[in-house]
Formats: sequence, structure tokens, C-alpha cells
Amino acid sequence: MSDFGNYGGYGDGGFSTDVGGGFSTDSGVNERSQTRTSLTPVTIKQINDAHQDIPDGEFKIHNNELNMVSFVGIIRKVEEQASGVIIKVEDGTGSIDIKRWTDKSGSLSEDLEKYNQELNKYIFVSGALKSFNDRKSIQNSVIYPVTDHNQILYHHLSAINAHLKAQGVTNKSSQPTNGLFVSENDNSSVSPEDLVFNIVRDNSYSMPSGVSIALITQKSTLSNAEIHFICQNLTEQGKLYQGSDEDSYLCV
Amino acid sequence: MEASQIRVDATLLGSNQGKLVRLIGKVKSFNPSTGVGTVDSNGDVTVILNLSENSIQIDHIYEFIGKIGTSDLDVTVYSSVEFSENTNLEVAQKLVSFVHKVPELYY
Repeated sequence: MSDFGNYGGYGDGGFSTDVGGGFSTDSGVNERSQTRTSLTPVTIKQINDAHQDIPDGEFKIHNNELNMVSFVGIIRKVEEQASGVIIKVEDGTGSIDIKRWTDKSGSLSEDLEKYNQELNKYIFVSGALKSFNDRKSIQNSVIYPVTDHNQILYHHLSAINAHLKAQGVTNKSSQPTNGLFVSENDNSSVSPEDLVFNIVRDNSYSMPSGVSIALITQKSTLSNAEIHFICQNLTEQGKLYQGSDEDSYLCV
Repeated sequence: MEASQIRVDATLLGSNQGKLVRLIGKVKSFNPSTGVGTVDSNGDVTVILNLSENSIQIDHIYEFIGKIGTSDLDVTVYSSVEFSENTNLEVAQKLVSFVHKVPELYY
């Protein structure tokens, strides 16, 4: 933060953009980027493929920094060690070891028994990704058995989602700017009533005196008489109400 | 279990012949004496189970790990995991289609 020296400039009453008060964009570049500690859903293959640019640095995979990770997998092997147990988990994309230190309250054999009961069953794991002697493992892990297997499906979907976001692929990139109303331009699958309602709804805001039948005709393939009929129906249902004259309608 | 498996449904059996696969589906029929059963996974799949190790129940949902035959589309099952009853099979089918769009995450 060498820019602190520039605070002296405030005495002159100057707020020139160069000074920036120590928060200029330049000063941030040299600093080490802050460790990301959010939980990233991943597949085990991603963990195994992740690489470190510098020793002890951040793990990176496909533009995504990994620190805390979560994954689902099946326990295939529980191994006893002097200081704890090693659990081998696989999810169809690869396998990884999870190290569990025995805590003071429980004994090693209790831990072994606990995880052996879950052998060949799905578990959910979250923890910090660490590497030691080029072998990756998960530390400080939280492990619990999966009871609702939709969790597996959703975990994989969120892993794909997180991956695509890191690639810069955004949701609904094919939609034009006003993508909030998805059904707006998709006239083929919408009933005539919904179509009219959507047109009135989308235009009500910009036309406070009412959306005219002429405009609805223009925006749909329906005839004048049909639109009159539909609008009357929708008014009776309380979805639309009359605008400033009887040929225009508004939506709440 | 070191080798990775490809997530498939009935429609993808043909393009993955001879490969190790993972398949989620609901058991429609199972003959306990022969170990042959039918599983609905976006279409019917014939599964062949090793009876000494695996047993499946009709109308339950399982994830199977197995190998597709090289000359037919039968799946020889090595291992199966029972899924909870409420598992949404539509989501499972969707997952299969998405998995093949991001192979870098899976195989």
C-alpha cells in the first residue's frame, strides 16, 4: 500500500483521479489474490486433474480455483492407519482418499466400524483440498451418508453448472436481452389466452392508458374478434381490466 | 473400480458397446433364478446380474455399474447401489444428457 503516502495530497484539497486514496486499480494487481474459500461442487476427476501453478498455491482446474470442495461418491475401501482412517471414495469419474483423524472422543475402532457400515454406499463429502507428496487428499472433511439420492443427481448438475459458469458460459445465452419473460416470443406452445395476456402484461407498464387491441393484433396472429372475445374472458376472470377506452386493456 | 465409467441410458447403449457404464433406472422385471432383469432407463435395458453378489427388487430404483456387451446391448452388472424411492428419474435422464456435453468433467 505505497499509495498511503499520497494521502498528503488531501491537504491541498485535491481529489485528482491519479491519487485514488490507495484504492486505485493499479495497487491491487501486485497483491496476492485472496484465497477463495467458497465451497465448489466438483467431480472427483476434476480434483485429480487440478494442478498447482506454484507449490502450495491454489489448485486450478478449467479456470476455476479449488479450495473447499464438495463431492458425492461411493466408499470402496476403509483403511486403518496409526493416526486415523483413510477412506477411498469413487464416483465413476475417478477416486480419491479422504483422511480422517481420530478425534479424542472416539476410538479408532469405532471410526473404522462407522465407515465400514457405509461401505459401498454413497456419501457426501466436503472439505479442503490438500496435496502432500503429489498425492491429493481431502482434509478437515465433513462426511455424511446420502439418504435421498436426488442429492447425487443435483450435486452433479451443480458441478456442471459451476464448471460452465467458470468457462464464461452464461445461462440462456440464446435469449435476447429481455429474457425475463421466457414465453414471450415462443408463441407456438402458448394458448391464445396466455398469448394475449402476455402481450398485455408486457406492454402495460409502458402504456398506462391501456394496451390497444390493434397492438395485440399486430403482435399475434389472432383476429380482431378473437382478441375481443379473449380479452372479455380474461376481464371476467379478473386477469385484465379495461383501459381508458373499451378497445384497450391493462394488466395489474 | 479405478477405471471411470460413462453415464448412459437406454438410448446411449449402442454407442458405448464394450464399455464400462453407469446407469440409473427402475427395475421392471427380474428373474431371481437366472439373474436377468429389465430396467427402465429412458427405455428398456436388459441387465444380467451375478446372483451371488447382487439382488434387485422390482419397482426399486438402482444405479448399476456394469459393462455393455460387444455383440448385444445387454449390461453385465458388476455392482449396484439402491437409490431412494423418491429419486427423480427425469432429472437422472437430464443428467445423462448434460454429462455428455461436458466430457472434461467426467471421462
